[in-house]
Amino acid sequence: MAAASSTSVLDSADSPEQLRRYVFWLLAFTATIWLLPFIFVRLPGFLRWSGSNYGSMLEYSFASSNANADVVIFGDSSALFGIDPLQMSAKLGLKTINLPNTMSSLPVTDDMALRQYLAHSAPPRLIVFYFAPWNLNFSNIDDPDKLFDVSPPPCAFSICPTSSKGRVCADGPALTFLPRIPELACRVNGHRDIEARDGHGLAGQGRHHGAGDDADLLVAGIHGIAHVGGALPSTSSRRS
Amino acid sequence: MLFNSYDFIFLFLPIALIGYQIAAAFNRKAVIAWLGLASLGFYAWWRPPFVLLLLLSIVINYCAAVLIARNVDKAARARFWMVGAIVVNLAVLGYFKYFFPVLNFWSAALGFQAHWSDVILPLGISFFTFTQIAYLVDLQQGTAQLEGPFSYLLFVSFFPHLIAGPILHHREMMPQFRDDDRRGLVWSDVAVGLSWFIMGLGKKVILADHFAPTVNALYSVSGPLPAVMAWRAVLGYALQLYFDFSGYSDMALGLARMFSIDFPLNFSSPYKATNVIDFWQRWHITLTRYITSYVFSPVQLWIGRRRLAKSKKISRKAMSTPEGFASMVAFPMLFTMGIAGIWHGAGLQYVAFGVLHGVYLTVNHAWRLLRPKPAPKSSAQGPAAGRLRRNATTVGCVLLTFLCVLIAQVFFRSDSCHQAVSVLAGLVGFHGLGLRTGLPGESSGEAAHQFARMAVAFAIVWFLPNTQQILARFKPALERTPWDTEHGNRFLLWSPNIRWALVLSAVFLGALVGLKDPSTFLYFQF
Repeated sequence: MAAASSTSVLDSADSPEQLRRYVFWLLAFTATIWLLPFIFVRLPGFLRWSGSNYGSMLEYSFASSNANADVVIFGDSSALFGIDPLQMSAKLGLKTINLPNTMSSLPVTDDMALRQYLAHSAPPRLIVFYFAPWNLNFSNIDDPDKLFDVSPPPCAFSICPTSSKGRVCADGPALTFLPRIPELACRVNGHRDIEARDGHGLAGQGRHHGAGDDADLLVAGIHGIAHVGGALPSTSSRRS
Repeated sequence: MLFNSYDFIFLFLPIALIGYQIAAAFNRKAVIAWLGLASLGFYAWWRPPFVLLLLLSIVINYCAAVLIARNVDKAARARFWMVGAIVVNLAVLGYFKYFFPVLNFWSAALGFQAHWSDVILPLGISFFTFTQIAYLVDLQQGTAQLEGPFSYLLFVSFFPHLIAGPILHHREMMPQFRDDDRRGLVWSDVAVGLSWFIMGLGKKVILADHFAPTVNALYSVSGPLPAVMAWRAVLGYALQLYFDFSGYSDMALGLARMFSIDFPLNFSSPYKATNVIDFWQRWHITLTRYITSYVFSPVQLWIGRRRLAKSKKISRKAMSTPEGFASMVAFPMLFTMGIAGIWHGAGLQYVAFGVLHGVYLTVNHAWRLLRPKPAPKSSAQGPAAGRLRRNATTVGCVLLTFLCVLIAQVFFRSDSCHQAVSVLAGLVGFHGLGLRTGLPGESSGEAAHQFARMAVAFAIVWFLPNTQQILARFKPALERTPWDTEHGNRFLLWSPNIRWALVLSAVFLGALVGLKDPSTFLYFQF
């Protein structure tokens, strides 16, 4: 298995020790710089020093375990700014929690916050996936009204073999993110449905990022609903 | 599994290397078995059931190889088994790759409403099918010998080449598998292989994936593209494809090298080619070699025999006549490149891509055969003027070749011939210049920024040495190319020192950050 190595050693004046040191330094540099931010952000007071307006909010996603909410909102900043969990709790009569994320944080943290929450909380009855119409893809803002106008909607993946509806529909880069959800939902319970929404309502909302002030309660244009179990009020009837 | 994924870099590769080192403590068979097992695991990671298809293909072909080897003295029987195995291979490939697209094409052409969903194309099916067909053909012709089942399994499935090449030849690989002199990790190979892998990863993640969103958005625009947008799309795709395939090839060869196995070179600065023949000796080199050996040469040989039977000549002089050129060069070339086009996919645009390159190559060969001999150098022309003239000619040839390649790539990238023609019309301004037109939601300076980034990328393509030239001291690939020696700047030659460790560490980090949303390689679909 060494046809190459014999030639390379002949070609090179570098000693095995030098080559070993090179590999070590290459990996050591990479690992050190790669790991430094993780150490840095764990320092006490980082949130205060960082100057980020979003740091504390994003941290909340990971610190809100054991909330045992009935409804969990998980999405990008459209959900963060567009949904008031207090209003929703009041109108639905169900305990609601909004796990904050942003378009910039999601590609890094993925569904980690939701997984973390579900691993340490009672199973919710409803999980709402609420993403802006560009679906995490800035180049996808061709015509917001047409973004979800896909017929039939592209079905991305199977959910549970036993599920009555069986598939969740999503489109765009959300596909890279959402496939993790089913296994997680399956872990939460053995009998939930997945319902697909085409998101037409969200298309309008998405034009104005911070639509919270004049937004309907929330449910217009959610990306997909994981209905975890138990009876819930009809979402459409809850639009104001 | 993708090379450009955390799973591969942080999980699969370290396990494969550690397992290789442990297996090396036993014997060569353990090493081969481990690498074969790891390769099957690599393939199964994508869709576990499809590893059965790969295994079935390997088992059937190996059985055919045994039957051919046993009957090598009985030509008719050996030929029967070879043809039978090739038919099975092509039938499986045809089903997965062409059956439903062709069915849908005819359904649409004949006005039927029926549309069948495509089946999932098993990754790398073309590559492992053609690798095995070549082995069977050579075995039947007596130029290969029967190998052990585990060596054969590793030859077909070795993970660095399994998904998208290079297309390996048994004559290059089997001796390396047999070599029992040294086993286990060799630091020089690990250092060179790891460095090459990181260079490829950087090309893919930092460069190719950077151009992908804009190119995809431009090619998705419904309606005709004005000139500026069409050029952005076409040049952007040229760079995306270049860095994508070049990056993949670097990664594949670098990975193999980590295990002290040399792969043949597959990519060597094709945009520096001065003519289309030169281009195909630099782009997907192993595919060129394959179709030359197993399609072009047999067709040309068959034509030559027919001509001899009709008492016609097959000399170079005969080839220079219009009739001789048409039958001995143009026909085999167009046929071969048509097949190469179809190999890339089921769609008329791929056929057009192949035939277009066939025409380029035919014209190029005609030029070589029929052009008038250059005039003797004028004594009045000084050396500086001569050098200037040569350089200008080279630049002109490179640009002309690149333009030809660009035109063919429009067909390669488009969803249909209709779209390709529309984009080409856009390039020459049929749909207006569109100086102020951009993608929806794009800021006003974005197009200018995009062109600036493309200029930097083209500078990398045209003015910097390629990775095998950078690594030339360590002979990174199986063979040296004529271009390896062109590299003259010693500062850019790789050495195992702190400077290169820092540079590649920065590239590695940049790539790791960009890996958060890994994308597939363009050649995976073939």
